[in-house]
Amino acid sequence: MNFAKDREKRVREIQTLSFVLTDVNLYLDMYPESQEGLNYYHKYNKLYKEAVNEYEMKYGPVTPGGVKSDVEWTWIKEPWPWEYTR
Amino acid sequence: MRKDKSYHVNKGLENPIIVQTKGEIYMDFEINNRAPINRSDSEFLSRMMEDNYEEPMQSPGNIPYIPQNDDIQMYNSRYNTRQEPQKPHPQYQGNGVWGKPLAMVYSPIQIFRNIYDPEDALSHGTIFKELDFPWYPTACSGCNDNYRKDGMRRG
Repeated sequence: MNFAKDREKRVREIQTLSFVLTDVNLYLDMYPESQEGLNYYHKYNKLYKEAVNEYEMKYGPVTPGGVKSDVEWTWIKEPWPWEYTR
Repeated sequence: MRKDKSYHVNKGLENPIIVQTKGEIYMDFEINNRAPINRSDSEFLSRMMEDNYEEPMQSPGNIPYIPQNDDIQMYNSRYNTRQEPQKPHPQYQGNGVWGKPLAMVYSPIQIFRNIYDPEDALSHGTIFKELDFPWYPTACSGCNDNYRKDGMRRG
Protein backbone atom coordinates (compact mmCIF):
# COMPACT_ATOMS: atom_id res chain seq x y z
CA MET A 1 0.00 0.00 0.00
CA ASN A 2 1.02 3.53 -0.80
CA PHE A 3 2.79 5.18 2.14
CA ALA A 4 0.65 8.32 2.20
CA LYS A 5 -2.55 6.34 1.68
CA ASP A 6 -1.70 4.03 4.56
CA ARG A 7 -0.96 6.96 6.80
CA GLU A 8 -4.20 8.69 5.86
CA LYS A 9 -6.15 5.50 6.50
CA ARG A 10 -4.62 5.16 9.95
CA VAL A 11 -5.29 8.81 10.81
CA ARG A 12 -8.90 8.30 9.80
CA GLU A 13 -9.09 5.19 11.96
CA ILE A 14 -7.73 7.08 14.97
CA GLN A 15 -10.17 9.94 14.40
CA THR A 16 -13.06 7.49 14.12
CA LEU A 17 -12.14 5.61 17.29
CA SER A 18 -11.52 8.86 19.11
CA PHE A 19 -14.98 10.05 18.09
CA VAL A 20 -16.87 6.98 19.29
CA LEU A 21 -14.93 7.14 22.58
CA THR A 22 -15.98 10.76 23.03
CA ASP A 23 -19.61 9.88 22.40
CA VAL A 24 -19.61 6.91 24.77
CA ASN A 25 -17.86 9.16 27.29
CA LEU A 26 -20.85 11.52 27.14
CA TYR A 27 -23.24 8.60 27.53
CA LEU A 28 -21.34 7.19 30.51
CA ASP A 29 -21.25 10.60 32.20
CA MET A 30 -25.04 10.31 32.24
CA TYR A 31 -25.30 6.56 32.88
CA PRO A 32 -22.09 5.54 34.70
CA GLU A 33 -23.60 2.19 35.72
CA SER A 34 -24.36 1.10 32.17
CA GLN A 35 -22.57 -2.23 31.60
CA GLU A 36 -23.23 -2.07 27.85
CA GLY A 37 -21.69 1.40 27.74
CA LEU A 38 -18.66 0.29 29.72
CA ASN A 39 -18.17 -2.79 27.54
CA TYR A 40 -18.33 -0.58 24.47
CA TYR A 41 -15.86 1.88 26.01
CA HIS A 42 -13.32 -0.84 26.84
CA LYS A 43 -13.66 -2.49 23.45
CA TYR A 44 -12.99 0.71 21.54
CA ASN A 45 -10.48 2.15 23.99
CA LYS A 46 -8.35 -0.96 23.41
CA LEU A 47 -8.64 -0.55 19.64
CA TYR A 48 -7.84 3.17 19.96
CA LYS A 49 -4.69 2.54 22.00
CA GLU A 50 -3.57 -0.12 19.53
CA ALA A 51 -4.21 2.15 16.56
CA VAL A 52 -2.35 5.07 18.17
CA ASN A 53 0.53 2.83 19.17
CA GLU A 54 0.87 1.37 15.68
CA TYR A 55 0.71 4.82 14.13
CA GLU A 56 3.33 6.24 16.49
CA MET A 57 5.69 3.32 15.88
CA LYS A 58 5.40 3.83 12.16
CA TYR A 59 4.93 7.57 11.59
CA GLY A 60 5.42 9.64 14.70
CA PRO A 61 3.51 11.05 17.64
CA VAL A 62 -0.24 11.66 17.44
CA THR A 63 -0.07 14.01 20.43
CA PRO A 64 2.98 15.64 22.07
CA GLY A 65 2.60 12.98 24.78
CA GLY A 66 3.29 10.35 22.15
CA VAL A 67 6.93 11.35 21.54
CA LYS A 68 8.94 8.15 21.88
CA SER A 69 12.47 9.22 20.95
CA ASP A 70 15.04 9.81 23.72
CA VAL A 71 17.22 11.99 21.53
CA GLU A 72 14.87 14.06 19.41
CA TRP A 73 11.66 16.02 19.96
CA THR A 74 9.80 14.28 17.13
CA TRP A 75 6.59 16.24 17.65
CA ILE A 76 7.76 19.06 15.40
CA LYS A 77 8.85 16.57 12.73
CA GLU A 78 5.18 15.95 12.02
CA PRO A 79 3.65 17.82 9.10
CA TRP A 80 1.76 20.88 10.34
CA PRO A 81 -1.92 21.04 9.42
CA TRP A 82 -1.19 23.44 6.56
CA GLU A 83 1.36 21.03 5.19
CA TYR A 84 -1.10 18.19 4.75
CA THR A 85 -1.56 17.09 1.18
CA ARG A 86 -4.27 14.88 -0.14
CA MET B 1 -55.64 15.43 13.72
CA ARG B 2 -56.21 12.04 15.31
CA LYS B 3 -58.61 10.54 17.81
CA ASP B 4 -57.75 7.94 20.46
CA LYS B 5 -55.21 5.49 19.16
CA SER B 6 -51.86 4.02 19.92
CA TYR B 7 -48.92 4.26 17.60
CA HIS B 8 -45.18 3.70 17.49
CA VAL B 9 -42.97 6.69 18.16
CA ASN B 10 -39.82 5.10 16.75
CA LYS B 11 -41.21 2.55 14.38
CA GLY B 12 -38.55 0.50 12.67
CA LEU B 13 -36.15 0.45 15.59
CA GLU B 14 -35.61 -2.61 17.76
CA ASN B 15 -37.77 -1.55 20.68
CA PRO B 16 -40.34 0.91 19.48
CA ILE B 17 -42.06 3.02 22.08
CA ILE B 18 -45.82 2.76 21.88
CA VAL B 19 -47.62 5.93 22.77
CA GLN B 20 -51.25 5.97 23.81
CA THR B 21 -53.01 9.17 22.94
CA LYS B 22 -56.34 10.40 24.18
CA GLY B 23 -58.36 12.70 22.03
CA GLU B 24 -56.68 15.11 19.72
CA ILE B 25 -52.98 15.10 19.13
CA TYR B 26 -51.18 17.68 17.14
CA MET B 27 -47.66 16.50 16.62
CA ASP B 28 -46.96 13.30 14.76
CA PHE B 29 -43.63 11.87 15.88
CA GLU B 30 -43.42 8.98 13.44
CA ILE B 31 -39.77 8.17 12.78
CA ASN B 32 -40.06 9.07 9.10
CA ASN B 33 -41.21 12.58 9.91
CA ARG B 34 -37.71 13.96 10.16
CA ALA B 35 -38.46 17.65 10.42
CA PRO B 36 -40.89 19.45 12.75
CA ILE B 37 -42.82 20.68 9.74
CA ASN B 38 -43.59 17.05 8.81
CA ARG B 39 -44.75 16.26 12.32
CA SER B 40 -47.58 18.72 12.32
CA ASP B 41 -50.41 19.16 9.89
CA SER B 42 -51.84 22.24 8.24
CA GLU B 43 -54.74 22.36 10.71
CA PHE B 44 -52.31 22.41 13.62
CA LEU B 45 -50.30 25.19 12.05
CA SER B 46 -53.33 27.30 11.19
CA ARG B 47 -54.74 26.89 14.71
CA MET B 48 -51.43 27.94 16.21
CA MET B 49 -51.73 31.15 14.24
CA GLU B 50 -55.17 31.98 15.64
CA ASP B 51 -55.55 34.68 18.25
CA ASN B 52 -56.13 33.45 21.80
CA TYR B 53 -55.37 29.93 20.77
CA GLU B 54 -55.51 27.66 23.78
CA GLU B 55 -53.85 24.32 23.54
CA PRO B 56 -56.16 21.55 24.73
CA MET B 57 -54.90 19.28 27.48
CA GLN B 58 -52.82 16.64 25.78
CA SER B 59 -51.94 14.26 28.55
CA PRO B 60 -53.26 14.65 32.12
CA GLY B 61 -50.46 15.14 34.57
CA ASN B 62 -48.16 16.83 32.10
CA ILE B 63 -49.71 20.27 32.03
CA PRO B 64 -47.07 22.98 31.76
CA TYR B 65 -47.46 25.50 34.55
CA ILE B 66 -47.53 29.10 33.42
CA PRO B 67 -46.97 31.76 36.10
CA GLN B 68 -50.00 34.01 36.47
CA ASN B 69 -49.97 37.61 37.60
CA ASP B 70 -51.01 36.54 41.15
CA ASP B 71 -47.94 34.34 41.31
CA ILE B 72 -45.74 37.22 40.23
CA GLN B 73 -47.18 39.44 42.99
CA MET B 74 -46.60 36.70 45.57
CA TYR B 75 -43.07 36.19 44.32
CA ASN B 76 -42.43 39.92 44.54
CA SER B 77 -43.67 40.20 48.13
CA ARG B 78 -41.84 37.07 49.28
CA TYR B 79 -38.49 37.93 47.76
CA ASN B 80 -38.84 41.68 47.98
CA THR B 81 -38.32 42.12 44.29
CA ARG B 82 -40.29 43.91 41.67
CA GLN B 83 -41.14 41.91 38.64
CA GLU B 84 -43.63 43.42 36.24
CA PRO B 85 -46.50 41.22 35.13
CA GLN B 86 -45.58 40.28 31.64
CA LYS B 87 -47.42 41.56 28.64
CA PRO B 88 -47.10 40.18 25.16
CA HIS B 89 -44.31 41.71 23.18
CA PRO B 90 -45.84 43.32 20.07
CA GLN B 91 -44.02 40.78 17.97
CA TYR B 92 -45.88 37.93 19.65
CA GLN B 93 -49.34 39.46 19.61
CA GLY B 94 -51.58 37.59 17.27
CA ASN B 95 -49.51 34.50 16.80
CA GLY B 96 -51.46 32.61 19.42
CA VAL B 97 -48.57 31.23 21.44
CA TRP B 98 -48.32 34.00 24.03
CA GLY B 99 -48.39 32.64 27.57
CA LYS B 100 -46.70 29.40 26.60
CA PRO B 101 -43.44 28.65 28.40
CA LEU B 102 -40.39 29.53 26.34
CA ALA B 103 -39.13 25.99 26.35
CA MET B 104 -40.12 22.72 27.92
CA VAL B 105 -37.38 20.13 28.19
CA TYR B 106 -37.58 16.47 29.00
CA SER B 107 -34.98 13.76 29.00
CA PRO B 108 -36.13 10.14 28.97
CA ILE B 109 -33.76 7.38 30.08
CA GLN B 110 -31.54 6.53 27.14
CA ILE B 111 -30.95 2.83 26.62
CA PHE B 112 -27.61 1.76 25.17
CA ARG B 113 -28.82 0.20 21.94
CA ASN B 114 -28.96 0.70 18.18
CA ILE B 115 -25.30 1.65 17.85
CA TYR B 116 -23.76 2.71 14.53
CA ASP B 117 -20.52 1.21 13.29
CA PRO B 118 -17.67 3.62 14.14
CA GLU B 119 -17.31 4.80 10.53
CA ASP B 120 -21.03 5.54 10.23
CA ALA B 121 -21.01 7.11 13.69
CA LEU B 122 -18.36 9.60 12.65
CA SER B 123 -20.25 10.60 9.52
CA HIS B 124 -23.57 10.88 11.40
CA GLY B 125 -22.10 12.75 14.36
CA THR B 126 -23.38 10.27 16.94
CA ILE B 127 -22.97 6.60 17.78
CA PHE B 128 -26.67 6.36 18.61
CA LYS B 129 -29.11 5.73 15.76
CA GLU B 130 -31.88 6.96 18.03
CA LEU B 131 -30.24 10.38 18.34
CA ASP B 132 -29.59 10.79 14.63
CA PHE B 133 -32.17 13.36 13.68
CA PRO B 134 -31.11 15.91 11.11
CA TRP B 135 -32.30 19.37 12.06
CA TYR B 136 -34.09 21.37 9.41
CA PRO B 137 -34.86 24.95 10.38
CA THR B 138 -38.36 25.87 9.28
CA ALA B 139 -39.90 29.21 8.48
CA CYS B 140 -40.99 31.24 11.48
CA SER B 141 -44.04 33.38 10.90
CA GLY B 142 -44.19 35.27 14.19
CA CYS B 143 -40.64 36.45 14.65
CA ASN B 144 -38.16 38.41 12.60
CA ASP B 145 -37.60 37.10 9.18
CA ASN B 146 -34.21 35.51 9.62
CA TYR B 147 -35.41 32.28 8.13
CA ARG B 148 -36.76 32.16 4.63
CA LYS B 149 -39.84 30.15 3.86
CA ASP B 150 -37.74 27.34 2.47
CA GLY B 151 -36.00 27.01 5.81
CA MET B 152 -32.62 28.26 4.68
CA ARG B 153 -30.76 30.67 6.96
CA ARG B 154 -30.16 34.09 5.51
CA GLY B 155 -26.72 35.57 5.18
